[in-house]
Amino acid sequence: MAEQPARKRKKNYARLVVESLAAPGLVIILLLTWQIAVPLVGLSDFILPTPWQIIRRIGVDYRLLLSNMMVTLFELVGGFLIAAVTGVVTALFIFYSRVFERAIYPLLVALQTVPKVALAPLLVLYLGYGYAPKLFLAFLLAYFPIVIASVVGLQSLDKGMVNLVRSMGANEWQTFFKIRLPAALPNVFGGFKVGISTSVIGAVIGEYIAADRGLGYLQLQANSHFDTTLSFAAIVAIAAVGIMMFALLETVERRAVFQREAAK
Amino acid sequence: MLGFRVRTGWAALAGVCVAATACIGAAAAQDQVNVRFSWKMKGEYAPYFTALDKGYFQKENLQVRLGEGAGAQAALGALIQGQEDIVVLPGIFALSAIQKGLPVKLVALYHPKTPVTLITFPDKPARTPKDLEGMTVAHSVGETGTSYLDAFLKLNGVDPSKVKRTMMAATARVPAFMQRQVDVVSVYQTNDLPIMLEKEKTPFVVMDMVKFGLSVPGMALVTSDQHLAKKPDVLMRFTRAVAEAIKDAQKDVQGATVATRKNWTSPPSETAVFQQIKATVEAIPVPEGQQIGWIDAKVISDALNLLHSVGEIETPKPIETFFTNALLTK
Repeated sequence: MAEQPARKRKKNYARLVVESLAAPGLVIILLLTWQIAVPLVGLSDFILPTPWQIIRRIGVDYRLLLSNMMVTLFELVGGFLIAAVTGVVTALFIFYSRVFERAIYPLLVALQTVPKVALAPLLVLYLGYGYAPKLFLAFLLAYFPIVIASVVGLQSLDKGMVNLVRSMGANEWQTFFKIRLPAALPNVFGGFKVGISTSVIGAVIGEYIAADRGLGYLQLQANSHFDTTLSFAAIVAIAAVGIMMFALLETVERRAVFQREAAK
Repeated sequence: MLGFRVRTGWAALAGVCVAATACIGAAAAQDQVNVRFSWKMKGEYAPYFTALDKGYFQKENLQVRLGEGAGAQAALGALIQGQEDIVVLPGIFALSAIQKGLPVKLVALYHPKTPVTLITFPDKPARTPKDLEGMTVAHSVGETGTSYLDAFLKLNGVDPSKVKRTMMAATARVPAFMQRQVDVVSVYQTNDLPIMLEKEKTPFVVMDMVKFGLSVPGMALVTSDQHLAKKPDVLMRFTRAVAEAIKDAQKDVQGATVATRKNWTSPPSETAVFQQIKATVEAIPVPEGQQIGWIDAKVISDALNLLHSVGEIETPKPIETFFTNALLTK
């Protein structure tokens, strides 16, 4: 009988280890398959370089990748921050004004359905070749998910809770800051997490169209030189930027959401 | 003693201020010229970087900013909006835009014939236009080599209906060709061809479209009618500097290669850039008694007829609408 809890603990531990190793394990298996398959099939590095060639290239050109990464980071963070502020403000207006909601929703949906790649050349025409079109594209791609998620968060609060605090004499400001906002935060951050990922896409699309620096530009240059290895290295760097920003946001979310929960 | 030190210190400070003012003054006396390329960096733009590197712009008292582009349309848009003074783009595109009413003009034409080629694999070669019958060509919108393929084929007595075309994104053409999804792809001697020949061990069969009669105006300088009216002298000095740089590059391709790679974020190999520049400068004619870049009215007229024949434009406007040689002095 005393052995059973020990066996159960061993089983749980083994399961935990397997679960935590599942994702990195799968990645390693895929990379190994890729590494072995490419020379076996006889593909040139112009068509598909091996993971080892890409990793080596990252090592050789890390300064180039890093300097261009800083440019892309600036664009995506700038665009995201603008989208975060304007997105949440728009959501508040939508929540508190039915007229505004009815007016803005069709425009938002229409804007969302327009392929941003189609807009990009026009943005260059109107905003020039500097940071503006990239910031605007990053903002454009992040804005919609932030608005929608924030609206859903604000609307998801149990009406009974609102009635309760009002019955205790709370005014609208108090209701908003003490009840609505904390309740909406998880959704808002959900929107932020989607937004930060899409703002990476926006910044890179902008660089494809008009840039002389940035990871998107670097990838375009690499493609024009048929340097597929560098192109992949740039893609890895883009993905790394996205993952990094997502993780940062998760850290901020944990502090923001749990701090509020601890304060209750 | 202290008084002497203070006087010396003030004198030194005054000297620095005078020197700084002189430098600022010298810089302020230079005329700013904003140049936008229609596309990303390539060896074809070597003359401009040679002019920058060897001081030809400085000699003409010009402060020149060279910027990479995002397509000819965006470049012309920036020109019209006054963000740029001069745009470097394919002449054929500019002619089409002028016909559609854009208030710009060609002011220099360095490639009266775009050095474009069609390449095929050696096991399925196309050495002459006739060999293209039955083959599939990769085509993308706005791409010079294949946009005028029908005219090129008719010129060489080949039935265009016997040559298939597959439409795809510009960046997908070469990969599709390498994957044998198409038989033929057009590439530029001044851009992708040298890189491909260096990277791939395959000895591609190269058909020079110019040798078979395709005459499409290539690298040209375009400016707006407004700039022409406001600062002709500045633009004249710019074209003069570029002409000198071209002569320099024609004599010293290696020097031009170094100057170009210096200004390139992630350049291809020195060999590839050398070949790009060599092809670029070899395709620039040196007209007798005229400045390099001189525009021959017949070249423009033939190009307009080509555009008309493929249905891109209606009856061409008067020829003087399209270009001027006023900025090119011997």
